Amino acid sequence: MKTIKVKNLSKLYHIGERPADSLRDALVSFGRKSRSGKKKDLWALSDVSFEVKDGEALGIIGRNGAGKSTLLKILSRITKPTQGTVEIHGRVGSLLEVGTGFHNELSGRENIYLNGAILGMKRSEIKKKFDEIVAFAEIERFLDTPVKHYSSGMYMRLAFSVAAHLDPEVLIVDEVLAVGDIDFQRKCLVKMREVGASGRTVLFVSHNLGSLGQICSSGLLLDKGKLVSHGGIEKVIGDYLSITGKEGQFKLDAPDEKRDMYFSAASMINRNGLVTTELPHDEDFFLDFNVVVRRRRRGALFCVALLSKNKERVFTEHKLVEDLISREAGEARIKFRIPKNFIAPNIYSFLLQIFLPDGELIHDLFDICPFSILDTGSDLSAYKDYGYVQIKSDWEAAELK
Amino acid sequence: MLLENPKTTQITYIKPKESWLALDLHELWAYRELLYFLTWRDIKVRYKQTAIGVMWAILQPVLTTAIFTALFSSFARFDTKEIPYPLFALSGLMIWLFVHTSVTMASSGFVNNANLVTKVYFPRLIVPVAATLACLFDLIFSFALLVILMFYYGTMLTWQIILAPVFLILAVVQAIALGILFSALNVKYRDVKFALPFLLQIWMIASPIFYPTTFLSEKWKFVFAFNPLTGILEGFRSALFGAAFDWKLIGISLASLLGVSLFSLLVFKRMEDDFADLI
Repeated sequence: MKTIKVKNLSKLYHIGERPADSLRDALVSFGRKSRSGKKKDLWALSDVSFEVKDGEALGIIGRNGAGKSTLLKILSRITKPTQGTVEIHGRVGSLLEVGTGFHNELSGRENIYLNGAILGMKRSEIKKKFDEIVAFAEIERFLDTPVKHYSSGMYMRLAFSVAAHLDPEVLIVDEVLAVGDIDFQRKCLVKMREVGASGRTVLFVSHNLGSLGQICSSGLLLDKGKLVSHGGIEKVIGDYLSITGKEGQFKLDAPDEKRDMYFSAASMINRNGLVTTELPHDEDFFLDFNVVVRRRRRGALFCVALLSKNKERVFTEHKLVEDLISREAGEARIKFRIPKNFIAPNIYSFLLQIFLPDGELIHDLFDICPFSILDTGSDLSAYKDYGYVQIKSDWEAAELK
Repeated sequence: MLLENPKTTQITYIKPKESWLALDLHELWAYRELLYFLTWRDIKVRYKQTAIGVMWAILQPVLTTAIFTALFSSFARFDTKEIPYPLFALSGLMIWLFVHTSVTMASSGFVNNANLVTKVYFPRLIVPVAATLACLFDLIFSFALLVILMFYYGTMLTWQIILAPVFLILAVVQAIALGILFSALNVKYRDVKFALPFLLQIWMIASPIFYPTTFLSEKWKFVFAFNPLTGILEGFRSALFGAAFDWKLIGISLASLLGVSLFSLLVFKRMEDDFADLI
């Protein structure tokens, strides 16, 4: 049975133009169809059609601005489509955010009822699940304290807990797992997997490909508002990685006749050999590059340097060309491994050079192969920026008094 | 975890903009618990972190009545017939203060609940209606005050008192109508924030709150009747104090109220689909 039928769904936004923010603008533009050239149309979604079977867990993947959020907003009825129709069978629960409608002045107990009602639960239903919600959030002692006095961890736990006890037939979830400390994240993931396995239909948007792979059975890939791929989750994740990977690739169009040695291609690959620009922090990954040797130069060195998002070097590695390539001329493919749990989640690119010890630069590529390291649930995932390297440190303390 | 609810046959259809005349009362009813909780939240939060709390609900009508009494029964001397001036003023003020606060509160409803509008679906009408209903809480206090004052002045009740609640309900309708209109306009035009206090001030002067309609000539009375509050205030006072109803005046006001309500609803329905994109 089909639970969700989406047909030719499109959504148009007018951007660039601020839609008559003041009454004066409205009066001025009254009667005129469009104002001179300011208006720019953007199809956030265009002609998207798909169906979701009963009990299917569908992961929606795409880069920022691909239309994922717009699709979820239409399916949750927050905004209307410009064209097309959707038919959903069953009670829909949507979680585009946790803690929607929480009021700081109200106590935890009061917020459970308020938030539950906002998410579409009946009062009797909330009453029945109340103890479970409180136990899951681990806030028993602070039930009657206004939530403005809660720590941010407690706040998020309570918010997720109410949401997790929503019991709809169709569940729409947007990136809500990225909250709280590591233990709570794990708990949330388990809960989400339970939901996925309970025979409920789930639509799930996340940037975390790992958790998508665990929770979802099928996937949907959106790019620039269009549906690009739909099928098994593994296949769709692969398609996504190849789309994003292509853009981060370096490739020389024609052979370089001027240089004795040069780089002809470079890309980032993950441990499965797929070209990508998004890599989990806890997996080895590789810089994969091709070198063409036209005339061998004695003593030439490779230089591989990792650049931070500010284009400063994080590390630099050198290697003698002759250690890797023994032939006098020809092309070689080189894989440079970066060990897991070493580079911290952040945005990076590479500097690639071939140079001679006397300082002559044979080929110099600055800021190529941009990629990002994703946090797939480390102890630090609650923070936005925590530098460039991760180390295993030892701490020693001597208490003085 | 097993599905606890049996499979419902609920089907949701999502289409581009539908006719904006359709008012889905069935759906509003289905969301009545949310209306209840939002009203309850607005009441609960209203006087949080204030030193004297709910006392404000009593203090506002008392102080204004006192000021009006001092001004208009000693200096200006409006002739309110057999109704003592403080009673006359309070009966008008309680309705006015209610309409004033609820329209003000409702108008900023969506802007204050922006995250609700962009993250969850519910019939949008609930937000301004809840803001208005929350203000009814204050009305209870000023009504109690009025009853005490009526006892004090020994007002004789007639059968007409049974019509008093009807006029209070009409005042609520009036407040809701303008509340939904300005809440919708405020999503798109933040001018409302500046224009509304000014409009309310003019409206107060143009309504028989501190002066009786007998103060107006027949011709002006007719013009004033187009202000729905004129009929509501007149009717409410006649019901309370047993004076004769001016049915012609009340009739015009009610027709006008109906027009204002329909217009507001129309504007709201027309704009509500874009709230999430505009806010």
